[in-house]
Amino acid sequence: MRSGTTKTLALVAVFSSMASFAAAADTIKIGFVAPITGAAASFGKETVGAVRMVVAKTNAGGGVLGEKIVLVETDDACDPTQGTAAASKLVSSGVIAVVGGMCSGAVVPALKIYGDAHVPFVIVAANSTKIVAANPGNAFLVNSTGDAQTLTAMTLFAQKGIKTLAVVDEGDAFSADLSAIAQTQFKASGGKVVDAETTAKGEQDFSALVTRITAAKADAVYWTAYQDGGALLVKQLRRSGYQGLIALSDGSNAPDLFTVVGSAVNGAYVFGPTPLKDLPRGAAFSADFAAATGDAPGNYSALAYDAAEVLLDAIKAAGTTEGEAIVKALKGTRYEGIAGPIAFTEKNTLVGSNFIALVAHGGALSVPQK
Amino acid sequence: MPDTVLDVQNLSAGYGGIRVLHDISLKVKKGRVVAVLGTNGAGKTSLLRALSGLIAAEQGIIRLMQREITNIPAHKLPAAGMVHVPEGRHIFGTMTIRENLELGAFTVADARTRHERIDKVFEIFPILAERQGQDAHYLSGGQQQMLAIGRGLMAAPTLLLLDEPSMGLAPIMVKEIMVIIDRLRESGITILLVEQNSRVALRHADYGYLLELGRIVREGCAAELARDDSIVRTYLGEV
Amino acid sequence: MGFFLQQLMNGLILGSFYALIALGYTMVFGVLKLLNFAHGDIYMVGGFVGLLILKLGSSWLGSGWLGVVVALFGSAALVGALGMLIERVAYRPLRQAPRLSVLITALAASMVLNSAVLALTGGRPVAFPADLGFVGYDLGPIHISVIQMALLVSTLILMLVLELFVSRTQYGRAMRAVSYDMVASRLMGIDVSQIVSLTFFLGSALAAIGGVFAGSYYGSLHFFMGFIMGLKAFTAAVIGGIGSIPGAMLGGLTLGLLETFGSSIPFIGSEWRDVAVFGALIFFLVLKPTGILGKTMVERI
Repeated sequence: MRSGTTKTLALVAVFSSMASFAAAADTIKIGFVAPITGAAASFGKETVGAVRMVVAKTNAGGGVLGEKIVLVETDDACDPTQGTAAASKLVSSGVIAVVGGMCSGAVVPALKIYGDAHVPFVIVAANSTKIVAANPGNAFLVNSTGDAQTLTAMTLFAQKGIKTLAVVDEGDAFSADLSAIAQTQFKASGGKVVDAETTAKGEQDFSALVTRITAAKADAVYWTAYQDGGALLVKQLRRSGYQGLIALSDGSNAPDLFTVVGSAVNGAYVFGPTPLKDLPRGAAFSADFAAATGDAPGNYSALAYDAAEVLLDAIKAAGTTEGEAIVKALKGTRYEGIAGPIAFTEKNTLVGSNFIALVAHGGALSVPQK
Repeated sequence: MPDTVLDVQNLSAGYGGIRVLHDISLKVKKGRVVAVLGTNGAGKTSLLRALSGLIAAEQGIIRLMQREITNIPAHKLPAAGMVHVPEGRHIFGTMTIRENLELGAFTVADARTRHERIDKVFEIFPILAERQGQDAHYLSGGQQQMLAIGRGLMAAPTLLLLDEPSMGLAPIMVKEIMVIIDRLRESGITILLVEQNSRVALRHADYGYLLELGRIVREGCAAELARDDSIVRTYLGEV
Repeated sequence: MGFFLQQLMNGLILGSFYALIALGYTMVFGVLKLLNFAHGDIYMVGGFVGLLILKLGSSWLGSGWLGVVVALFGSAALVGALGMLIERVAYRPLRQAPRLSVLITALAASMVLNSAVLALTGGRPVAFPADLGFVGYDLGPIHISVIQMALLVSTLILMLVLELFVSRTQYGRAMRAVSYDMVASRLMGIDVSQIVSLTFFLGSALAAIGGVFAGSYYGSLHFFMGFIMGLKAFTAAVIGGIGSIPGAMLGGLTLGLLETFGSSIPFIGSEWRDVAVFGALIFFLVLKPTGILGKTMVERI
C-alpha cells in the first residue's frame, strides 16, 4: 500500500521539475488528465504510463515541430469539481492540447473550458453521449460512445434470449445516460424493463435492491456504472442465489473488479475494448508497457497510447501548435492503432464500435468462445 | 493532635483566577459536628468544593487525619475517608435507589460488603428500603436528601461534608434530617455541616465558624454563637 | 409475502450494522455530551485493522471463520485502544472548553483518520481477504446465508452483554452515573477520566467489530465507507433516543427497516432510500428530539 503513496510523491516531484524545465527551453506542452486519486485511480495509473511512452518515443525521435514535448499531468479524481479545476489548471499552464479523460462526469464540465481556450482534447475512455452533445467541436472520442456500447449489449441480450431486464446505475452522467439508452433500446427491441434502479455512490449494501430484482424476475441485470459498486452488486446478487445473466458496462472494466468480487464474477459479461492478448500487436505492447512502467497494462492502456499518437500525429500534420489547425488535422485522422482503427465521424466520435462483450473467468476477461 | 480529623491551614482558592476563599483555617475534631455558617455567597459551598478537590487550592494545606490531601483528585477522597454530600443532593435520578447506594460504595470492590452497608443505610432510612427498586427522581425532596446522605454513608466515611441538607425542605422534614445528623454523630461519624439555616444548625452543632466574603470572621462554641445577639441579627436573621 | 419477509431480513441485517455503530455514538454522547464525528471513521479503521490481521496471519489463520473471529477480537482490542487514544489526545484537553471547540476537534479527528487511510490505500477499494463462502439456507421464502446469521446473532449477543454490563456491574453503573452527573460521580469516588476512557474503548471496539463484519460481508473496504455509516449511525442514535443504549439498538434496526422498505415502495426507486433515512432524521429532530426511548433532553449541543 505504501509503494503507491511513494510513487505518487515521486510523480509530483518529477512533474514539478518538468514544469520548471519547461519554462526555460523550447518545448510544446501537452496536458494529461485522468483520475490519479480516488476510487477510479487505477484508470489514471494504467493510462499515464502509455501516454508517457508515446511522449518519450517522440522526444527520442526529435520531438514535434522540432520541439520537445513536455507532459503536464493533472488529476480529475473522476469528479466533476476536480475535473473543472484540473482543466483550468491545464489551460492556464499553457498546454496546446490535452489527452486523457476517463470519467464522463469529470469530462463533461471540462469541455467548455477547453473549448473556450481552443485547446483540442482527445478523450481516451469517457464516452457518455452527453459529451457528444456538449462538445464545442474541439473534443474527439477514441472510445465508442454509450450508443455503440448499448448496441453491443442488445446483441448479447438477444443472443442469450433475455426477455426481462433490470438496469442499475449510480446516478452520475455516464451511468445514468447509459441506463436511459439501454432501457429505450431494450424496449424498442421488444423486451421488458422490469426494474430500473439508481444507487448512491459509495453505498455498500444492495440487499434491498437485490431482493427487488429477484422478485421482478429479471432474466438479466445490467450494471451501467463503475467497478466498485459493480463488484458489490455482483457479489450480493450471486450470494442471494440469483442465477440470471449479469452484464457490466465498460465503466466496470478494471482489474479491481476481480480483486474485490473474487470468483463470484465468473460468467458475468463486461463490455469493453478487445483485450490486449486478443489483439495482433497486443503482446508486443504489453512487453513494451511493462518495460517502460514496471506494471502490466490495464484495459485502457492501449487506447491511451493510440489517443496520444493520434494527437501528436495531428500536431505534426497541422504543422503548427495553433488549436484550430490541430482540430482540423484530427478530423482527417486515419490511424491503425493497437486497440483498433481510429477515424472520426462528423460528431468527432469513433467510426464503428470497438466494444465487444467479454466474459469474466479466472480473474480475467476474455473473448467468449463461440 | 490525633483527635483532629480535618485540619485546614491558610487555604485560599477560587474559580479561574477569581479568588473566593481567603486564608481559611479551621479544625474539625473527631466525633464532632462543626457548622460553617454565612449568608448566601459567603463562600460556604466553595469551601466544601475546595476541601473535596472539586476546585483547586491555590494556597494552604488541607490534612485529613494527618494525611495531606491538598489538591488530590476528588475521586480519591472517599477511599481516604471523606465524603462530600453536595448541595442540591445530586442524586442519580434515572437510576434506582439501590443503584444510587451501590455507587456510593464505588470504591468498594466486594459486593457483599456493599450489600451489608446498604442494609445499614436501610436501617437508618427505612423509606429507602421500601422504595429501593424505584428511580430516584420519584422521591420527594426530603427522601432525596436521605438518599444523598445514605449514598454518602456507603463509603463508610470518617468525615462527612454536608452541604445545605435542609435546603428547600418543609420544617418537619428539616427536623427529621437534623435528628439523623444527631444519630450519625452518636454512631461516631464526624460532620462538617454547611448551612444557611444557621439557627437550626447551631442547635445541632458543637462548634461553628462564621464565613463572610470568603473569610472566617468568627468562630466559637455553638451555644456561645447562638447566644450572641449581633450574630443572631446579622447572620441568622430574625425569626 | 416472500418479498416482504426477505426485505425484512435485509433490513434487520443492515440495521445490525447501524446499531453496532450507533451504540458507540450514543455511549459517548451520553457520557461527554459530545457528538463524536470520528466514530464512523473508527468503524472504517476497524475494518482495515481486521484486514491487516487477516493478511499478516493468513498463513496460520486462513481466510475462513477462524481468521475472521481472530480479526474481530484483534481489531476490537486495537481499535478500542485507538478510541481511547483519540479521546486522550483530542478531547480530554478540551473537557472544559466550549462544546463547539470539541465538535470541531471531532471533525478534525475524523479527517485525520480518513486521510491517513486514503494515503495508505491510495483511495482504492481493498478486497477483504476473508472467504466465508456463499453457503446459505432457505427458510421458507427467505434465503439467509451463514454470515448473515452470524452477524445477526453476534449483534444480538453483543447488545445483550453490553446491556448486562451497563445495568448490572459497578463500572456499568458508573458509566450511567457519569452520564447523568459528572460532579456527583467524582464525589462517589468514580474516576471520571477512567470511565470516559472505558466508554471510548467499548464504543470503538463495537464499531471495529462492525467494520470487520462489513469487510467479511461485503467483501471490500474503502477509506470513505465510514462517512456515510457515521451519518446513518448518528441518525439511528437520534431515532432511538441519543444517550440511550437500548435506543441505539432500536434506532439501528428501525433505520435498517426504514431504509430497506423506503426504497421498495413501488415506482419510487432505490435513489430515494437516503431521502427516507435523512427525512426520518429531520422528522425526529423537529418533532421528537428525544427519540423513541430517549429521556428528556437536558443538554443542548
